[in-house]
Amino acid sequence: MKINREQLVELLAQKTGMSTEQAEEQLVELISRIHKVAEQEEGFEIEKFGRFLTKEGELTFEPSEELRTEINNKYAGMKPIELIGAYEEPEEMTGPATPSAEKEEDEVDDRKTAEEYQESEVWPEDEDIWGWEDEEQSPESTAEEESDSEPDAEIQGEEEPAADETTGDPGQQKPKESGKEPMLDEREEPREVKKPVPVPEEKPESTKKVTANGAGEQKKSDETASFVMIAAASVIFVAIAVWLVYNMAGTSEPDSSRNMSNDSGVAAVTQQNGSVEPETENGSAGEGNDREPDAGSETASRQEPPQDSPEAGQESEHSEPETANEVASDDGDDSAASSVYGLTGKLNKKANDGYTIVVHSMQNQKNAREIYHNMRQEGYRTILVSAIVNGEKYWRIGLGQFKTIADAQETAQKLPGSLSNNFFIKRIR
Amino acid sequence: MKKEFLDAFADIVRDQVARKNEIQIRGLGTFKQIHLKQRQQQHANGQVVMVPPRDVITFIPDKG
Repeated sequence: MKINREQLVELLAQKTGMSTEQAEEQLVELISRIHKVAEQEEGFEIEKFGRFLTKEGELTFEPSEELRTEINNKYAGMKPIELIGAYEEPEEMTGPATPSAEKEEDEVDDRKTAEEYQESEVWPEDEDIWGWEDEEQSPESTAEEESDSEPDAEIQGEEEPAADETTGDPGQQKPKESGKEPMLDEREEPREVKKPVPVPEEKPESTKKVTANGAGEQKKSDETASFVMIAAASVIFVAIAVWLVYNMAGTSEPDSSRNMSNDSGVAAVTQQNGSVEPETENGSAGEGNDREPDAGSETASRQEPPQDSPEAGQESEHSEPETANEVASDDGDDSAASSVYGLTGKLNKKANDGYTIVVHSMQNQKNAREIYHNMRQEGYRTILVSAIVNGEKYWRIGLGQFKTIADAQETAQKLPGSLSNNFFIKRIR
Repeated sequence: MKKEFLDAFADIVRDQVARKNEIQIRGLGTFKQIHLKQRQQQHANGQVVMVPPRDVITFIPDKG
């Protein structure tokens, strides 16, 4: 979107409370002064904004550090990363390289799957021959080879045992890798084949068993190993789980007490903040009315912090010293410099020149208030401000007061899950 | 010139530019935000670094 001079004048008038004529006048004066003063060596400087300077007959603007970081707040704190062994033009290198690599991988995958198919083909064959007696019950899944073997089976008729032996041999030869296991195959599978002979109704099941065995025995050695592994892993898992539960129980108790102490601190803060709120909220009406339902939600939200303890626990561990400072300094003056800025504790008016992490922005004032109070219950320095974006009023909930955008950014990354996903840094004012 | 007005001017320009709006002031110039993509850069000592992306404010003076 473009803002032209007329719109700027309008905005200036809105902001300063002047009439548009006055604002226009002032702007004209400002521009002429910029041009005049920029000629001088020092240039025309606006505090926390930047400096206009004429260089080689052309007006230039040099943004101040504050403005620069503010414009760049999305990427604040990002530092150059050293690349080791990088080429000068890596994009061209990686461009064609990666697809070919992928192709190779695909080919490898294909081979693997092909091998798997070959292996699996071996077994269906045997399977058919083990189970061919039940002529009609050729497994649905097996393919053409089956139909080849079926006529054989019909021809051979009752020579089944011989077929068993003959097929047993390829069975032995094929999975040579697995060594002794084919022996097991022979011993187990014939038994199961014999069963179906007297009782044809059970055949489908038994053939399935055979297939299961066929697939299973090949991997049997693997499976026994993996079984042991799984058992061991599950034992370890249970141990970890138990340990975690113990730990949680251990930490959550102090947490809850900590939250309680925070609550009492915040309860005191809420009263003090009551006087601050009208300022920050542009003196919204009906504040007293909103307060009463919120009291209900406060008590409700008081139960929440212990549930969030795994994440909130870490939070409060980080911030514990700060909160301690805060609570202590609440009684006296805010003299400790370290407690001026921070994520938790009480809002400090002196820190209002800093930045806050806006974690929620919504148009529903009631919801915003509810979240605001919940956040405050959790011990955050919470700021509720309204902002007008594109003519619509939004309620923003900011956490903490930070001296620099980088500080805020860093802290924001450490916020518990849902909060650190979507936020932006905003100047408090 | 009141300081209030100066601050208001700075605030408005800052807010609008941060919102990726372009501010065109006849007689002065244009403020706008431009985005610099991340890029690789080789230092004189041969060290190659990936420079992170960046948003910067630019000012183009009005001609005439």
